Amino acid sequence: MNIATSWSTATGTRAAFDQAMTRLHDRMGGYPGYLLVYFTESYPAEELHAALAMLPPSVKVQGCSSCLGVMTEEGMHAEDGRALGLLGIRDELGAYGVGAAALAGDPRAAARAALEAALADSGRPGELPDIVWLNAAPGHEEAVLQGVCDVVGRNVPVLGGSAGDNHVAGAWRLLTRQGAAGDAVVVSVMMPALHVSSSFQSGYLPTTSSGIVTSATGRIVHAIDGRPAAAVYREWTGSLLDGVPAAGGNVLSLTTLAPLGRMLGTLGEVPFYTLSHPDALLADGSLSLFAEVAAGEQLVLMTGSKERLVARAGRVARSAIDLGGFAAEAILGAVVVYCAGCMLTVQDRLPDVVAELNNALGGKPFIGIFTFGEQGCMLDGHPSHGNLMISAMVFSE
Amino acid sequence: MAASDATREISLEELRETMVDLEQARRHERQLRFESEGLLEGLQALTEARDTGQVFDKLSRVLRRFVPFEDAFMLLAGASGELRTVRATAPVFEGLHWRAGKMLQRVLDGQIVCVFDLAEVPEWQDQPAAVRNRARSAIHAPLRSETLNAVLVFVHAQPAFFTADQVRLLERFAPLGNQALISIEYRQQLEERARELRAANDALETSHLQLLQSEKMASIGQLAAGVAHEINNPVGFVLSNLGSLAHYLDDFLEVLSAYERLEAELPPSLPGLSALRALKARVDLGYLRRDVLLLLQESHDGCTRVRDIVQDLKDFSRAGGAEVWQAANVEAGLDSTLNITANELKYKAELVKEFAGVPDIECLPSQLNQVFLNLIVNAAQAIEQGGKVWVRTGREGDAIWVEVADDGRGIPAENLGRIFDPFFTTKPVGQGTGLGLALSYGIVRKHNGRIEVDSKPGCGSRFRVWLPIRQVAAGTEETHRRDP
Repeated sequence: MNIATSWSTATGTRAAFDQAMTRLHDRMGGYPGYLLVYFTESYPAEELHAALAMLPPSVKVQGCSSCLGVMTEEGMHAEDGRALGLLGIRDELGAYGVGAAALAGDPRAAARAALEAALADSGRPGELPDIVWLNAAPGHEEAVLQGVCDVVGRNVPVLGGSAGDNHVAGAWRLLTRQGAAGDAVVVSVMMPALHVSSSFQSGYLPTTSSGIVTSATGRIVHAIDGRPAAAVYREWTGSLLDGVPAAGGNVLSLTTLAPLGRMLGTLGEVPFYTLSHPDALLADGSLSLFAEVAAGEQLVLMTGSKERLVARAGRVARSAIDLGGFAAEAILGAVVVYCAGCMLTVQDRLPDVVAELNNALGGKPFIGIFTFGEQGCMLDGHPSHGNLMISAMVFSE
Repeated sequence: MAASDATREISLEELRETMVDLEQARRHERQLRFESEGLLEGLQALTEARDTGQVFDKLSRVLRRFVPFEDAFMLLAGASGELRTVRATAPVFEGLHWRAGKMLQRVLDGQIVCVFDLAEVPEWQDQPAAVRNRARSAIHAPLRSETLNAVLVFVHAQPAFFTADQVRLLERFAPLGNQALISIEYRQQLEERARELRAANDALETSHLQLLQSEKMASIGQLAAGVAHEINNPVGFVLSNLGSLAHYLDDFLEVLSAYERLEAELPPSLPGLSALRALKARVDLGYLRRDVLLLLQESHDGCTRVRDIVQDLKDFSRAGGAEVWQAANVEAGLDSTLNITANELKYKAELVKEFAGVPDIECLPSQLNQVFLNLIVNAAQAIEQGGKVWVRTGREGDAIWVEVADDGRGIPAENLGRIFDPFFTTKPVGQGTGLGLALSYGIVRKHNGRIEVDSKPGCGSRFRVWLPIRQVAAGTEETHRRDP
């Protein structure tokens, strides 16, 4: 039983895949049984899918595109927007299954179908997975999570990240051995013989600015406390959006350190939040987010800092290790999901993020991806979708 | 100002993180305490379990607090690879047969398997609709020892009911259940060994008693042989002398008759004749002539009887320490034994002998005589007064039988099963050791025979000893080896 990673920024999709796969094969002493493939849009998913044909049929593959690069224990990998990272698991006594489905206007049904296919692929139909690993096109994560819970209930840890691209232009891709697609959900069920633990956190603090959503449609907030949501958000953030015209516009890169939080519950006396990243002020005075909100929910202005975002990845990994009760020497590897928005904010500090992760994981192999939405279990133990979140899935002997 | 805000934020963040850490630690501690309490409860319950069924009962009772299942049952793997339900909390799960498909095989190999949708699992698809309707999700946990491979199944009617935390808890319980099973098996093995040891000890004690008895009989035999030798010599010459004396007496009486014929022809005036006739009258010579013969005959008879008794004593205890398997006639042995026990019988019972003329059998004669002696003495002792004792023989096929019956008080039904136990006796203290029938049983077993008993209180008892005419080769060799 072992885990290893490899990467490439070689020019040409096939060359990059061959280089990374050869390294992985050497490090593992053979092909993995389960393979995660994360890549930037510079490597077309269709070409990667063609390259997967070189693998033995028994190798199960899940992957998606990542924003601008990937991380491994060897560093942050990106060269002119090109990066390919692999993480392989050999676990002969465990069971893994991968399924995929096109969202096709019904993300919930698609998630159900993908998960059922993954369960069938695992060879253990009906059995409760230890963890569900999810990648989907951004935009419908809440419905996707509902579809997952329709099948396995709300007590199974679900972790994952929405596919990203380099320019937020809809160039994201999902990948399995069955094919590559932009509007799809891919799901793995894991029933490993090794132990797995996860953690899902944000690096933000609540401020005193808050209000009740009085009108919302999906991911569009029309009004907070009865007033236009864009205006309220402008007030809460002071001068942050002064450069944005009154008619509105894209604010994604400006609001990374000032997201809106929705309280999911409290741990003891400490409230915990899921984050929504404002991406645009709309001409009608509404506020567009990367996560759904509903009328009646309280929104709290959150505040973050680069320091916290840099340190947070390591802290999340340590939290997963602590929750699993893993001994440092028993850790085999990890998968880290890091919000692309956060990544863009700390882009010049990414080596420090990798260092924090290596410090927490003891230098064991990990792959990190940059996503347009994160899914995981908050402190209440139930799966949820959030923005600007960081998660870690750690494997141990 | 900015630095101050940063300091405040870091402090707030640290405070928040610390509170989160504390709360998580508190939750973790609560969960651990909860699990530890469960484990302790489970341990206490399992230490009281005496068999597999109790392990299931107690484990499921304790576990229900921590894993709130609706029903539970236990599957036992058979040699054929199939499993069957051996215990259940609800009748609908009883008597089910399960094939060990992939899922159950992994459980049998030691893995806990949680199923959120039983409709997808082939093993469950085989089960009747009533079972499938009642169970939609389940946890399957292995329960294993050196000799037993079982599966505990906890079910719930709601799909996706069980959680990973509950599986983890069961993982902690599993070694406890396995250990309980192993302990039970060790305890059962120990009890079995103790039983074997007790049986071996009893057998050893019986053998020891038989040996003691054999040695006693050997001593008596030697003593009897010595006494017989010492008595036989004087009895021999007394008998011989009595024979000679009888001849001499015949001669004397013949001479006396001649003298009497001559006396009748003598003249009455012959001097001394009247004195002779007075002497004859005084000693009553006619009576003496009749009585002397009678006395001689009685003395001869008495001596002959002494000789016969000594011979019987020799025959009875002929074994000594060196008895060997030999062809012998049990009716002759019975005669010898009856002679020895004649005194025991004659004042209280009439003896009825019905011998069939059975053939010689391969046996240890003196030991069989000991069996007959025990049976005849017991028969005599069962009679108060004026009873009957029957001693019969017969043959059926390759076996003969010897039967000793009486019309005495009989044996109560509750004692019938114990009469061959060593030291079991109903006789007053000092009158019986309780060893007679136990030793007889051992001796007959050694002869590859058996003893049948038929008794009715108030009507009498009948003991029939069956003995093979020829000992089978292996048994004979074995018996010969045990009896040098």
